[in-house]
Amino acid sequence: MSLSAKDKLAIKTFFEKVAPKAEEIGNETLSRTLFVYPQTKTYFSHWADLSPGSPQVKKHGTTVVKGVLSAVEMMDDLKGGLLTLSELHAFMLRIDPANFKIINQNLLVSLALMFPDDFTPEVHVSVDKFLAQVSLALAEKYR
Amino acid sequence: MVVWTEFERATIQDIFSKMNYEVVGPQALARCLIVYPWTQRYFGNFGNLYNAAAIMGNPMVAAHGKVVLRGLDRAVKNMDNIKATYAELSVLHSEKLHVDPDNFRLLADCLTVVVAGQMGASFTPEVQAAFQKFIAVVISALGKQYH
Repeated sequence: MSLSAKDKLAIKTFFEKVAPKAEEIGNETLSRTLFVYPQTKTYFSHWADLSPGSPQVKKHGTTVVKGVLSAVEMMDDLKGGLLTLSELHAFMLRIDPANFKIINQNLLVSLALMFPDDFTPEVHVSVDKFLAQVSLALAEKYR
Repeated sequence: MVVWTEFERATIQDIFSKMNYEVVGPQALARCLIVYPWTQRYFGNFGNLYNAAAIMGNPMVAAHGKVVLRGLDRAVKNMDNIKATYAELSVLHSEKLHVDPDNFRLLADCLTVVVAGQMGASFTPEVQAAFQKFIAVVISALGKQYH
């Protein structure tokens, strides 16, 4: 399920609109991940406040979405481009890769509610494929 | 036994009472067929599903989307008894339609995206959690009679 030229164009075009709202999308995505899937909170036991919209959630949500946005620029070689981030997730953070699907789903929900007119079914399928590829690249160094 | 909080009950009733089934059903099913094209395997006699535009304009897809949402309404009206309410539907999906239960999750994800798009900011994390719990119960009930 690799990215076609049509997918890549749809992704680039759509994320250009998303980029200015990175903070908001990040907050929505991470807030929802932690709230709707409480098991994900286990990775953040060192945070004071895990509630939706808290300062730490906002800050970290932004970090995550900025990571996704940087992956857009590296679409032609995600494994190479995401090597360092993969090492981080594999050796330091050791996040179970099953959680990538969870955060991806919440990112899609956040995109749908913030960009209802732009997040058409065609954009949706391209973004879903892209996020799956990003997750694979992120899991590359796990074993 | 599923235990619903007051908030969850009220949220589910609220979402579905305000929802236009005639719009959301077709949109959710079309989105599922577009985003997860392998789900088209169950709709061989639906005619032209060749591309996104064809799927979104297909009258059989639209009609069936409405059927699905009306089926979901039965769970909305029987929240304390979803398993029993869906026993027949589960047998139908397993014995007659031969639908891989994994597809229920795919359609559910598309429905969530459509509802989020419709509700915007009012689809808060709390509302999303209630909605997804409801959908999870429905999916479990639909899969119950598979063997």
